[in-house]
Amino acid sequence: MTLSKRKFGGAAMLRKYGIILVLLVICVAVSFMTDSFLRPSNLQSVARQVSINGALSIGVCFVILTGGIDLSVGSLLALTATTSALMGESGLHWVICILIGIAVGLLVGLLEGVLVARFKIAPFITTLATMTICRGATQVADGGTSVRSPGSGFDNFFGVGSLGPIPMPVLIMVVMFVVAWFVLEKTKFGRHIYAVGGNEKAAHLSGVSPKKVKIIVYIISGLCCAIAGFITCARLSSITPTAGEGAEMDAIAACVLAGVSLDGGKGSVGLVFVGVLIIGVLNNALNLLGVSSYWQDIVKGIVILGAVLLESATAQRSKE
Amino acid sequence: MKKLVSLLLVAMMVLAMSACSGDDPQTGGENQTASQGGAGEGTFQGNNAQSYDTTYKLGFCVNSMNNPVFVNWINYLEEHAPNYGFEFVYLSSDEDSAKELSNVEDLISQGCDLIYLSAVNTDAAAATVRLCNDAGIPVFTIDRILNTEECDVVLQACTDNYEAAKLAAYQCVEDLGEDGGTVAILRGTYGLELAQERYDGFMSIINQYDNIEVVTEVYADLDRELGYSATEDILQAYPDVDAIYCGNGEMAVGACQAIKANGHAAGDYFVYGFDGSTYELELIEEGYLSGTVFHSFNPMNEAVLGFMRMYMDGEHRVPISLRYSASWCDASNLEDFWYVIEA
Repeated sequence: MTLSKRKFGGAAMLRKYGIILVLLVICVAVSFMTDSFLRPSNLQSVARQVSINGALSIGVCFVILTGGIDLSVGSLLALTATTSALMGESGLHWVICILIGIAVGLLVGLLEGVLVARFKIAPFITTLATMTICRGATQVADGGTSVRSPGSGFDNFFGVGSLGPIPMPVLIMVVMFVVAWFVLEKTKFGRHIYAVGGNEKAAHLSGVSPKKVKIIVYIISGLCCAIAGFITCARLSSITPTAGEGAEMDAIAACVLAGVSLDGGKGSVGLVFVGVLIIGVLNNALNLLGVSSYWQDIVKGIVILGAVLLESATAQRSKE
Repeated sequence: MKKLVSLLLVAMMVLAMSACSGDDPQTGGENQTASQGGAGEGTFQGNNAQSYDTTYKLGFCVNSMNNPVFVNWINYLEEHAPNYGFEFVYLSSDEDSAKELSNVEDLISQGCDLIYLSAVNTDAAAATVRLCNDAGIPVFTIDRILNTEECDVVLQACTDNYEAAKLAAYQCVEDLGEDGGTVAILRGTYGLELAQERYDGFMSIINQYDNIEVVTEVYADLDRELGYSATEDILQAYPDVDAIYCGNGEMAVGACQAIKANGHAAGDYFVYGFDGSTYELELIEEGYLSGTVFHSFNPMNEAVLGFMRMYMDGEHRVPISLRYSASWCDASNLEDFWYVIEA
């Protein structure tokens, strides 16, 4: 009896944390193939590179946990950062610019949440529409050209500065992950999110308001987009109208790698962090190894498929 | 099982660390010899691989690979960089400034000694170049000019787009003849300096003729598909338009394909391109494209490689800017340009 229980526990562990194993295998393999990979300066740049996708993935994770999807994150990243940058151009202090950018993110998130929760429009369609609207709004706002960031204080805080050896964007991402983990695992609201994603009706009957929960997760995603936008803008000390194009796909991929169920209700934000690292390490490794950019996308796709297959195989086995 | 997994993980981490510590001193040593042997001969030597004692790693970050012109650069550099004692590696930014920054970070991690950059966006690229400046890695650029007040670039090479655009304008004036006519313009990305120069140069001539009227200007972002759809719209709105001037080769290819697809014959419209890709030359052969501005990218890249070598050998007095003139290529001299491309 105890033996079979332990066996089951092992399989469940592997299913749940197999993704960490995948990350480690990739890291070990790459470190054998090139010496540059484990250099501190390279690890630092990998960390900086993943910070934008990390910030976006947190928001997407919240939305997916309720059974939704958010395609608008890349465009909203551009819109929030562009708004802040334009405010900076008009002479406002960068802290105020940030607040305005965040307000834009929250507003768009609120709009998406209301459309999904109150008007029952499918999340895929809602966010597909807001994705194009945000991209268009960005181009209207900046006239199709890049805009300078709101100043060096802004750049230092979000992009080029560092606290000790830790670059600011990495610190910001890590703090965001810790907060997200705390909210999802340790608060009542976190349990409500899982409840709504797992079984909306049951959640409703037990006194949770699915509408409220859904609206709030889109607002959270909007906030994450704004922060990711600030990091992008600060790192380049400018923001281009095409910034964040296709970023939603990397964010969703990180969640899928982490085993966040697209049906909602299942998944851990801690593992999303690992998923983000896998995508980042893979990008970095393919560059370091000099893999042609034509082949890079194919390799990335195969790794994502492989990881998900591995996961579903172990899931099946643990069911049997 | 739990124990097994954790054991496995520990073993892997140990392996990873030993892999790192085992190889590091070696590469460090290589780098040192590279930087020491650099000083000395400052002479400009042609294509002779044997004459260079030290090899440097040249990292090229190209703004995208969806334009045949950019792919040509890579092919050319891949073939010729070794002649100057460079190990050549490249990455594509896919027209994304954030990816460009990551790419350059990765090139630096790879141990590149110098960076060659064709920027996606000139404002955003300044931050990327500052990263190289901080790391003490010299940067050379091609095609898009960065603002050197914000970052240090050793040498910037590009076509004199303003003057080159006049070549297309002269051809347009000649084709439309004494009666004049109407022109539609497909412009490159809004706010991009080279796109603006290609427009301004063209207009500086066209504006001198009262009988030539520009009926519409559309931004098609230097993209083939956007050029195609924009041309379809132009043909709907202005079926009587005489000529279409395209601010780059990809848009010109799109325009010609739209003209073909809408059932027009070769020569129904005068179409002018800008770049001189193989696709454009083929369309000139077929007669859909009247002619194109032909960049001198091969000699430009050759010169840049030479100056890179001089710079790495310790001669820091290289020109800060190289502006190349372009040629006009049409059916009459097409043979000469095929020869250049195939060379």
